[in-house]
Amino acid sequence: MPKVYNWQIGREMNYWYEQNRPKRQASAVFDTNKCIACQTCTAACKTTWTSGKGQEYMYWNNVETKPWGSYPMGWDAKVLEALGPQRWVKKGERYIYEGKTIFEAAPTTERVLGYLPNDLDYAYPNRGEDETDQPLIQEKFYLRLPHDLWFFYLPRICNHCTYPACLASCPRMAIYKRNEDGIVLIDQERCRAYRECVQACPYKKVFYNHVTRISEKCVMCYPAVEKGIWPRCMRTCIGKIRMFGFLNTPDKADPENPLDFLVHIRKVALPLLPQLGLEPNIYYIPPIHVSNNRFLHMLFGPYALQALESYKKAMNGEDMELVGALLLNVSTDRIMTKFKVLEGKEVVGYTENGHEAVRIPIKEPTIVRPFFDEGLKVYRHNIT
Amino acid sequence: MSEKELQKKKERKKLSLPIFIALAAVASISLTFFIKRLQEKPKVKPEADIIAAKVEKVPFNDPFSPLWEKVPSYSIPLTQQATVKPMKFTTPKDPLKVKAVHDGEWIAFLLEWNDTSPDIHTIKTKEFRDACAVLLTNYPAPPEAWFMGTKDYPATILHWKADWQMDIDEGFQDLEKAFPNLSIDMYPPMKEAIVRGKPPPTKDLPEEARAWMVGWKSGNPLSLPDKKSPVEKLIGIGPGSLTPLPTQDASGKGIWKVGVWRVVLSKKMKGSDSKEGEINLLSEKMYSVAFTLWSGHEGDRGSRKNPSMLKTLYIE
Ligand code: SF4
Ligand code: SF4
Repeated sequence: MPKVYNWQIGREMNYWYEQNRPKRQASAVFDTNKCIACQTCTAACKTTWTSGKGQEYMYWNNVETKPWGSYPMGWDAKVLEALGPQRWVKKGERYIYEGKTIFEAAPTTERVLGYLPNDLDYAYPNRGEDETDQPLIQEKFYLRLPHDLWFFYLPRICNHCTYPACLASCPRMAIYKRNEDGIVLIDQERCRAYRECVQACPYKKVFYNHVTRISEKCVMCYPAVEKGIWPRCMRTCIGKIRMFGFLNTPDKADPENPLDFLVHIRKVALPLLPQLGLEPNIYYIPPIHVSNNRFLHMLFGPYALQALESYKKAMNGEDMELVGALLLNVSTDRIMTKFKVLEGKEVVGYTENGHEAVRIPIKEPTIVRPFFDEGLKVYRHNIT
Repeated sequence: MSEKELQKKKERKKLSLPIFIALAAVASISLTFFIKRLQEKPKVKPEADIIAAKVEKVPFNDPFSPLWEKVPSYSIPLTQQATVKPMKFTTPKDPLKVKAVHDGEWIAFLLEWNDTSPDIHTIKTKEFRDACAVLLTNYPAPPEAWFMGTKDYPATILHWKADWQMDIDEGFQDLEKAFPNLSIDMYPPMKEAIVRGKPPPTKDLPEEARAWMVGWKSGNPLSLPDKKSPVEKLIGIGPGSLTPLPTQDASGKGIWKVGVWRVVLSKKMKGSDSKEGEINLLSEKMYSVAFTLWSGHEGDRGSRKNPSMLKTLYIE
């Protein structure tokens, strides 16, 4: 198997094909701290792409509640268990992954380590939301939760991976990664329903259509992206948790590119399960209130706490540039490739051709009105 | 010597001349024939693993035609697929039984194998079909041609699928077959059309609702609800290159009875897509052939299969 470089695990790894990075890579950052599980993103995707007969069970975008929820059921636990020990070793400032990726752990007969979900696994897309894993415990005067008091929402779409397992697993080469934007697509004319991709994708983001009897996956709204517009799940996000754009590799990071700034410069956003080895291109700002650091480490890799430190600085007003970058989330539906924070007061986002796409005040102007209005002779409940 | 004896001797002499002439003539004709036979190629059948017997009419859609009982049966061992990943290491216990006939216009193969559980659906994510295939290419094919042909030896493949057979025999095996309690509010843009949550049959969906059924819209043969034949005719020039041929005129039928699949796969001997590389088959000629089985409940599909080695096929 050829060797490719995966910067997320800090080392070379085996992959089915030679390294062939696209000209640029469509990518996004999701701030888990702001997601309210409203599922607007899910509905936006569903009505756009998966409303047909045979697609009923499919959610190319889903939002699951961690730690109990997962769609399809147990996808993460199953793949992590099959993978075996996942050890990271610190060398200087960097962590190197010393465990195996799903390509390296593949059994002799396979290209990738994977499994095929059952139909019932897809039947509980919202399991775990505001639920416990066991019944509440009855104490003398109150009910107690059977586990730690934290959970968070994890919105998930296809990661349009740099080293897609779906693409590697297809013996017909019916899956391709576009050179112009790195979007991973299934050729609907060439697919012959082997479902190798459904089996191989550890994130379980390829689905089998029960009626057309071939496989389908998230297309990152490529017709919109080609026009410089954000995908639908991103631009409809109520919680404004999402930032869409193009991401460079760390050695070519451009501090003015909002995605590079968040991922490579401030290192506030991290890949989901980097140890699997796919170099996924959706990045997450980890939740700040999760008390179990080992859980965060498992889900987002060894830089999870560092990312939180960075995030907290912005929350405390110590990093206005980061505050500015985060304010660009869902502030426009046009793809921005540059941003600037002007005198700590405004953040401006620019499209690829240099046009100003959006301008936002860093601090919203606040007017405090008197509690008692002399003119109207009334008291105010809301004075700001 | 008496006069009588002299007379007899004269008569014997008169008789022996024509006998001699007659014998000489016979001998010379025989010799000419013999020499001619020596110059001609002897008309014996070349040694072949399978002989496609000449019949009056090929039973191309009838695996139980009495005609099949009159032609020889060949036992073809199946092997593992350990060349291209994903692989299949296990092999079926029994060899595949193959028969072949032709009538100058059509050639048909009868494949027969034991299978206690027929897999006839591909609706659910983990459902895989039983299937079988015949690969044909020119003789003598290089060993690489075994892997779905090569550029110089394109493989014409006849692929029978149990789920397509069901679609033809019983009508399109729709979503409701696998999920009988299915209930749905709407399929845009036809929100008015769904009565009491029961969706219309896929075949009756209006054109606008097919916008979401991209496989069907793009003409992928696997996605078409209206199947014409259970046998697909494909061309291959190496692993991963399998492509359906433009003229889908292969025919056949598979029937599962008491633990045995009997499947006929047939094609026209003169390839209708020879420009695209489809093989033309002629009488009294030798070809290379291979057979493959996929067992649905073992998760077989694509390269997870049990092929035979390349065999020789002589067409009478
Ligand atoms: S997330 Fe899965 S489907 Fe998407 S590119 Fe990666 S491997 Fe393929
Ligand atoms: S729309 Fe945004 S806030 Fe709502 S669930 Fe989706 S990602 Fe979360």
